[in-house]
Amino acid sequence: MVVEAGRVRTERAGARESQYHTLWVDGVGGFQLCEDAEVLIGHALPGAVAGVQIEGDLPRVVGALRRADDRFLLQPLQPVALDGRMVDRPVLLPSRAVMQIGRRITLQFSQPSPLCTSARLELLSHHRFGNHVDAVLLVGNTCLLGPGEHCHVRCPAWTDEILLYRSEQGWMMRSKAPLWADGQWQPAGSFPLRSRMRLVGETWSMTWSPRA
Amino acid sequence: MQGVGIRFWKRPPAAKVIGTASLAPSLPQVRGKAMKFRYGHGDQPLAGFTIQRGVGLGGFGEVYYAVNTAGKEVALKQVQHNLEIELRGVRQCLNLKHPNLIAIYDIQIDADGQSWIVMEYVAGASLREVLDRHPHGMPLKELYRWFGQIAAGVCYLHDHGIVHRDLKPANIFDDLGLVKIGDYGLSKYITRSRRGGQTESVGTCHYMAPEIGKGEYGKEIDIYALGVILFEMATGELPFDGESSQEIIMKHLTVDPDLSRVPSPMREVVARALHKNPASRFDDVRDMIAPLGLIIDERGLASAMQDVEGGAEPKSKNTGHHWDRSGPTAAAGTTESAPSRSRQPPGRPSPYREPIARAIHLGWMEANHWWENLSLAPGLKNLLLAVGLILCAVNAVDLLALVLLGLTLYVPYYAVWWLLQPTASPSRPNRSVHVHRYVNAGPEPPVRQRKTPTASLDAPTVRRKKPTEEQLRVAYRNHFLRRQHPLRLVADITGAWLGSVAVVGVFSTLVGLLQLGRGAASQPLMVGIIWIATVSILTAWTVIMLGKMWQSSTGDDALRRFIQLTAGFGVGGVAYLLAEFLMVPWDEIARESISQIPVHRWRGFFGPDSRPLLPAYVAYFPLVMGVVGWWKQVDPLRRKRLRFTSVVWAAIAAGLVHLIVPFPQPWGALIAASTATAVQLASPWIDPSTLARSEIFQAKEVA
Repeated sequence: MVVEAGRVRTERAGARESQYHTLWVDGVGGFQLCEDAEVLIGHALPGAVAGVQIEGDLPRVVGALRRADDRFLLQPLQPVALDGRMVDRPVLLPSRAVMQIGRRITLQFSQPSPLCTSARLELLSHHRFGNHVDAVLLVGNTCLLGPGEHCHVRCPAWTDEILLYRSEQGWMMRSKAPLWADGQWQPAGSFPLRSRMRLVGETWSMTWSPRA
Repeated sequence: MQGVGIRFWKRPPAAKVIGTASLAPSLPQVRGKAMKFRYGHGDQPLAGFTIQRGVGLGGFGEVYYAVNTAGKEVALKQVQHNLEIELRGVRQCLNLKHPNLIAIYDIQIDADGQSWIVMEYVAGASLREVLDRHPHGMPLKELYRWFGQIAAGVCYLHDHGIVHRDLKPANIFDDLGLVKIGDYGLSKYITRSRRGGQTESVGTCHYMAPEIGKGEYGKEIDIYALGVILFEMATGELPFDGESSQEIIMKHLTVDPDLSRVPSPMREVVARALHKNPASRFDDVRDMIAPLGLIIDERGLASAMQDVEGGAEPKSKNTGHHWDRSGPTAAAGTTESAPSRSRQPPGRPSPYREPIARAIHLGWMEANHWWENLSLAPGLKNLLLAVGLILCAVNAVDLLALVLLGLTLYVPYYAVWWLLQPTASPSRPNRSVHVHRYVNAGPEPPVRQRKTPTASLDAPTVRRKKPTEEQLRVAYRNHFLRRQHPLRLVADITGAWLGSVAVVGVFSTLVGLLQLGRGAASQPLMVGIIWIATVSILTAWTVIMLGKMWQSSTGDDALRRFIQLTAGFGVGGVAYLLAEFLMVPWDEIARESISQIPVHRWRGFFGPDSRPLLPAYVAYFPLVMGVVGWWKQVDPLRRKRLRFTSVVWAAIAAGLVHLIVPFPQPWGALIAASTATAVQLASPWIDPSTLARSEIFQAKEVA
């Protein structure tokens, strides 16, 4: 999917689908991971082209988020306000920027970890993302889960952090503590994530899943 | 169970007991509340529903977020324990309909015979999470929005003869702006004719009314829980907290809450809601919220009155503002309601107890609020600010002088005020006590207690056996004194030091005046009085410092005496230097007592002119310090502020030491006695009757 001069050209849907994973963290929430360099924001409709789908009064596509090195650009395709000001051209998104799309939908963009290019999108208004997720992660090569403010998935009850990162083998998980992965004992360290993998730690559990 | 989700991971060894068992013996023990679930994303333990993820763990089972085959989002609660009591309560609530209650759709049984409750799914945060984000209390507007809707939901339950029994922030949710109360698992029909006969004591102990342990209760326990929640929303703290459930339950039973930090009119509401005697609480939720300017209209919805801020009684139902998803709106064409006013001063009470400090603090907050809401252009405000700063800088010297003058007057005043304070309240909130409780965002596990003799948390047992004063004292020492903030400790010590100076100063002045009146005042005598006063103060300061450091435990008696004895060397040395500096004329003021000392046998202790030498000081003072248990006189939990016997014993001990190491008397005994008096009068003291007051009340109630 490519945005060219304000117009959207969609590529094969199958290729796009494979780029999304969802992390279902028990007791915390569901998180959609978008790995594309560019992702569209739009209404959650059947057959929607947007990667970030919102159940709200929105056009099919409102804008696009494009990765630019370690920052993100917002390209408005419909009226979009950033921190209260309308934008009509691509703008760099500062961390904790608030986007208003549509009439009443507000989103917050944040990059919690300065050492990581991944970003998080959360809805501030009373709306929901599509696919039953609670937030969207625009992931670079790493994604942190843990109790700290710098984590992309903040799990206040956790005691340790977990790192998800991309390698040549695909997505990997690194944990300081041993855990169970699909029922198999997994010592502390790194191991590859497989689709629909159930991960159970000492005080937590979650599922790594392809997008529904 | 069926489908793709059933894999081996569901039953890892030793992981079936959720949240309590470790995964394997080799796994290290980690801190943190377990948040593990039996089922994971994609599982279909109940036909027609696909689990997305676990949501929470309660005492009665696991709760999952799931979608049905049509895409409807639901919450699935698997009933694991206490099946009967859970399902009984749920069935009674199946057909309740209220916007502030989480709807219960169905009860289904899976292929394994397990019961599942199908409920409305709420995506928003729980009140627990919101409170964690506001450790100093919620903004007033949010507080009113939440509490009004909570009250409406509870009122609806009560109107239908149902008591929730487990109201707590973890059971209350923000559903996209609409507050909803969940977890009906503990709800139960209770009417006035069917009070009592409860077979279980259930609930979460932080929000548990005192009478729950007796097993006879009605909707007053929900009023009590609402009072606790309102307290927590207003202050960010719990009225009763502790390290163990027993300690918390004990406080619910015996301690009165410290409401000084709850602003009015909430303070009065909380005070009545948290009354130990259920009959003295509000009879109805409507009565409870009326002083807050809230009403529940004929449709069962919470509304805000126009003059909420003043806590006025509702004037007319037509003037109300209905709560929608964002708070009160002008339903009847009226203007903005009080809870939503952003310009009202912050409802936070001052943390200072001293009146002048409190007035200054509140004045500063008011001024700050006024400045923030001043309708001026930002540039003009900055200009005004700059002018003000320049004026301050120009008059800095005068301002500094004013401040110094103020401090000169204030410090002695504060010392006197502090001395006149009866005690530190036993229910004074201690922030450090319970901040750690919110580290984990998981749900609070309810404390369930069966009425069996072996139940460790059996509240009725607590009630039958009244805690003794000593038990209360131990509990207070463990709970409050051990966690006293270092700054608070420093403040206590310096305050006691100031107080001891005042006490010794007053008594010394009196003695001097008496001598003057008798015509016996001479310069040597006055010098002696000054020396005694100064040494008494020095001794008192040493004793107070050591005593305050040791107040958190009863400690090792012998070791403490040894440390006191060691400190006595310093006191003796300074006393000697002071006597030399003042040139205390021992030969004149203690002629008689010195003449009785066989000086010739103590040549190392007394000079040729019979005045005591340094060895006499550094031998006498350490012994006096070591013989008397001075720290007991500093202990805030001592039985009386001033015990005459302690003063007499200190003087006698000094006399006894005199038999071993001669020292001019009665001067030595006078120092010991004045030190004992000053230390006891100046050291903070907690009136035991304050600790036991509620207990006495409980005893009357039981009788």
